[in-house]
Amino acid sequence: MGSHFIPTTSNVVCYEKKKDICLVAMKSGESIMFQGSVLVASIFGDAIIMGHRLHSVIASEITTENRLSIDLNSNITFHPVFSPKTHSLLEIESIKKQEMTTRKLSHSGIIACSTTMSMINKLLSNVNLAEERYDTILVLRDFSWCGIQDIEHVTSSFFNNIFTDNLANNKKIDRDTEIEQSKRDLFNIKGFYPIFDEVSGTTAIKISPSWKNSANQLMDDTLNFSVPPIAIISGHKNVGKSTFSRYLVNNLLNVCPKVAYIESDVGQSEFTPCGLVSLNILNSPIFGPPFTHIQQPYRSYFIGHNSPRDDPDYYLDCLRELVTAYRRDIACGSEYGMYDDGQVHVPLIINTHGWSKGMGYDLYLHIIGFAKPTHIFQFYSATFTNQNLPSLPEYIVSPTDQAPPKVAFVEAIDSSERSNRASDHRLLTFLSYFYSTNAMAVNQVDTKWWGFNLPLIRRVPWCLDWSKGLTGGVFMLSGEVPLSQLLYALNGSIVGLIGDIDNPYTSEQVDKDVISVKELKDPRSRTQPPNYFPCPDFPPPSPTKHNCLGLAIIRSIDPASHSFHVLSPLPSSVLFKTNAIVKGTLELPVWFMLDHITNSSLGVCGIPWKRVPYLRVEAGEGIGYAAPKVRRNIRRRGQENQNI
Amino acid sequence: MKDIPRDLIDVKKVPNMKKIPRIVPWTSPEEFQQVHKWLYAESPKSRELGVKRVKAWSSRGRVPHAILSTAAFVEASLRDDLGYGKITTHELRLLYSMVFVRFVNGMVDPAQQGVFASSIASIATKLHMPLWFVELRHAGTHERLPSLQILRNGCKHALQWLNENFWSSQMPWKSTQIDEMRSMVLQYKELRKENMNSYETNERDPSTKVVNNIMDLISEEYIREILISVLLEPGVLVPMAKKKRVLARDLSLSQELIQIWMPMLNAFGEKWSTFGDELIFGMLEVLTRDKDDIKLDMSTRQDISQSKPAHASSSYRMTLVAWIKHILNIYYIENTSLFAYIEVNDILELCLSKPNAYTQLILQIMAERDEELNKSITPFLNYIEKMLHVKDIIQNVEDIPKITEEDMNAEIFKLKHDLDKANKLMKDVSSEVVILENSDNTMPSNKEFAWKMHDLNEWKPCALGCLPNGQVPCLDLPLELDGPSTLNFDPIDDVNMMDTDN
Repeated sequence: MGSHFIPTTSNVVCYEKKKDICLVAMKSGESIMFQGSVLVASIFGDAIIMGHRLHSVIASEITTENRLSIDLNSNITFHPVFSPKTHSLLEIESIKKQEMTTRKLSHSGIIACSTTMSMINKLLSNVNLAEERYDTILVLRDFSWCGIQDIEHVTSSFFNNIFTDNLANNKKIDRDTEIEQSKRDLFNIKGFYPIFDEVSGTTAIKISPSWKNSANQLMDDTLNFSVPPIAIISGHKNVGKSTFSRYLVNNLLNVCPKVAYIESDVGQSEFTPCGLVSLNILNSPIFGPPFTHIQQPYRSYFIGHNSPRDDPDYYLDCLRELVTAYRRDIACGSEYGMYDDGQVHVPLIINTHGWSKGMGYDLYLHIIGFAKPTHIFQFYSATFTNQNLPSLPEYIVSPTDQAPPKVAFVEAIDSSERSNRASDHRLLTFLSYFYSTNAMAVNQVDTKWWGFNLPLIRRVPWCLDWSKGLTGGVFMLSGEVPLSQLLYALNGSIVGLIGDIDNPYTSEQVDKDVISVKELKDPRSRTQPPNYFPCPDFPPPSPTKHNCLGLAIIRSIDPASHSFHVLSPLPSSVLFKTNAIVKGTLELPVWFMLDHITNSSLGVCGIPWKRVPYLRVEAGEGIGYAAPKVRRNIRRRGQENQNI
Repeated sequence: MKDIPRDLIDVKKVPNMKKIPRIVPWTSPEEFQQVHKWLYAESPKSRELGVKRVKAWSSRGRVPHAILSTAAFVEASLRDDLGYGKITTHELRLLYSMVFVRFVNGMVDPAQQGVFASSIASIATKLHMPLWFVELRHAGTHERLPSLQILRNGCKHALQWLNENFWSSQMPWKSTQIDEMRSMVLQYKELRKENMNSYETNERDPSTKVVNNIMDLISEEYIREILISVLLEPGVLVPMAKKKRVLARDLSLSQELIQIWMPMLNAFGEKWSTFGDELIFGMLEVLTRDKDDIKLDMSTRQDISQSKPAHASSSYRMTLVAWIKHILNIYYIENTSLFAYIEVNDILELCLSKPNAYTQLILQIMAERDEELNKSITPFLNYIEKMLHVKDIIQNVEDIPKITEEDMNAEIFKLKHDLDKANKLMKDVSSEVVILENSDNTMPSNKEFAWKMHDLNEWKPCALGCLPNGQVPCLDLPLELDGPSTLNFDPIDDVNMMDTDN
């Protein structure tokens, strides 16, 4: 299966030579499935992508020649759509125009400039609207300038061609590929690869009826409830929780200007790299997998691991604080609503971790306990029944002190289709995060949103003087690293940057501790040690007082000037708020240590392999060389017929 | 028993893919060896330091299980030896037992390769692990907690076992090993010559036995340091006598040289797939070592003064070029599995990045063998030719400042930084009224200086973990910062500690 759309010269219009814009005229029911990235806006009629309806909200008129023409003073908002092969591909579907019952919502995106507008009008003169009875006219624009496709080249081969799909690379060129290519050529947009034929390895997202019903229910309740709903999504790992969450967000954005989202899956976060729990406020639909929409959260906490298992209490404290922040600042608050009339409701979606057994299930019940959801969407699989969650306890289903939550079962995505592993997704998100530029946050056009062309190790780092900048100290979440060895643990590792929530600048209390450490200082050594708080002797930063500003890599350490050399995508205005750093167990992927542009096989930055720190090219020898790795799929004899 | 990590298996599937290095927690082989020394030191303070460093490694991740186990045993035994009165026998038994359980499981688990679990005892046998280790594990998990006597004994033996089976196979080479290697290689040469000169060809060439001994002496990791450095000494692959060396005119090795050495090189190439690469790169390293010696005057080749080191002599270097030519011929023409793993692209890269008369010759050899390559590198060859001979004329080039991509990026960074600053200033100005009223809200000035861009003039791209000078600085903080030790050290031990530190 591919697109349900037959491109011709009359329903796809573009400039002969310019490869950056085209109009697509579609009839309801037609859909285009594609790989790559593209900017999409609707200028006539409606289209739906991943649950979100793109309305044309612009003024237009039909000219005497049955041609459409748009008002050059109106705003056209383009939305970025990412459809890499790491996930199911996205589809753009034309649907009948819906009469708007609610007020018109406009979500943030890329606003078209006047040149684009006149280009669109010029192209529109080629579309005969009345004759063909099109329902939707979309504008597609080149988005390859954002640079995301270069993520393919950072690793050696894991992510080859996840965005680009050049048929020319196919070894066997037959009639089918020629037809496919000729259809693609009609669109003529760089980085956009519509798929018409069945292509192995690519699937489109299938939205099951249970998903649609759940989303409709939630939309209705959002409009009708007096308080904004809180929906919690639960299920085993790899059942499609994250995809369903995006689907819900996109649907809710059809009826509300903003949606709040709490990510509690530290292993695979939606808007941040792994190791964080965060509250995000979304004002535009999300089209693409998590690594394509990294966003600065409203509030975020550093857990420092891929799993909450090492300190579940701290994990719950952080999540509880996120829910509190949502209730206090966001839910009905004028502070973040668009309108000051108190009528704006910002619904909340909570995605849970996929750790559904043992302590994981316990944590899940705790989250329900303090989040008090109005809706619980629980994944259910008829094939893999052992992955289904047990039925919820009575005190949750029919509580005595509040209205019972609506519990709905949603159909699991067949996990056998999802071949990508969690570790791959984590890697993609890390790459996307650390290579992102500040252009993404402000929707800047024609500027790279990702700078994969300059390897991290070649970048000029920030120098953070720990004696001045880290008054809050260094926290170590795992292991008992003695202070004398601290720099060995920190050099070349990922850390969380911590700032104060309310008063971001000073805290007098910690200054005393700094002095006490100074007294301990060895007189022979000139190196002033950082203020140090190892766990569990010291608790991690309190979630009510400190939040995580983002992640950074300590790329090197200069003890002589007591400074960390830091790489971080955060803008300086955020970086300067840092007053503490936290190290967990997040491991720096090897790709951050290599130079993928020069890609010399002799070494890194002129240092031969044998002298490069933290890397080893030879295979290890000797018994016990392997680092401990957990394997849970070993079976005992006699378990042959059991499912695991 | 070798553990083959996933990325290396992938490499085998995709022949031309580059090896992906693996992450290790130590900064250098020296640090690794230092920790080994500490963990097995006499002085408890040194052992404690070893345990501390392994803890720092653990927080980085990817620590080999054998290291974690060694540190855990050392930590437990330190508590046993020096924590007297502060820890009960039962506590010690619990401590030791847990270390044992985790040690045995961690060794056995990676060896569970199949779908179904093999018995722990059967795997332990394969690992040459004493079976009573397995019994201790079993008792510690399921039965009566083992006695302190047997646990102490077990700890001692486990540390010994780890030293023999893990640490010693990671041992670097020693200078005595080089001497041993040299004598073996020379012994091979003599035996081989004898065999070639004897009229009745000896069915059982005694030299093959020497080759086998050599291969037993070292592991693949150290062939460059130990074996190849010996092979490249004058008198081995390159004969002592100048007249036996190769002439620039034809660059071909004498039959005698080939007959002496090829059987040995073939054996090495068969045993270690990286041998061919290591040999060629070892040779290339010598050929590109001396920066000043870029220009080679062919006519004065014979008049090398004796005071120059052997490696600088051009007849020596020419012979190396001939060897590389010989090996490349085998690679290109004979198409045998031998030397099939040579990374031609790497050779190309190195030769192009360090053009001199020798690398130019190697490039020419490669171009002759590979038509496609010939096309693509001919312009470079022409350029190198020009550069090598006209260099004197265009010395002024040095005066023109070079602007690299890095400089430009650095510039961009600086501008960005300035822009950020300017933006901030604008913000500050707009909120100045507030600042005047409430000075507590301003950013303290020292805060601002806490973050600054690295000085661009002193910045140079460098490997992660290194400073721009390419070195990892000393990361030690004073041991006193750790506070009083929980162990009761003998006062005498402080003296021992000083010894090991020096």
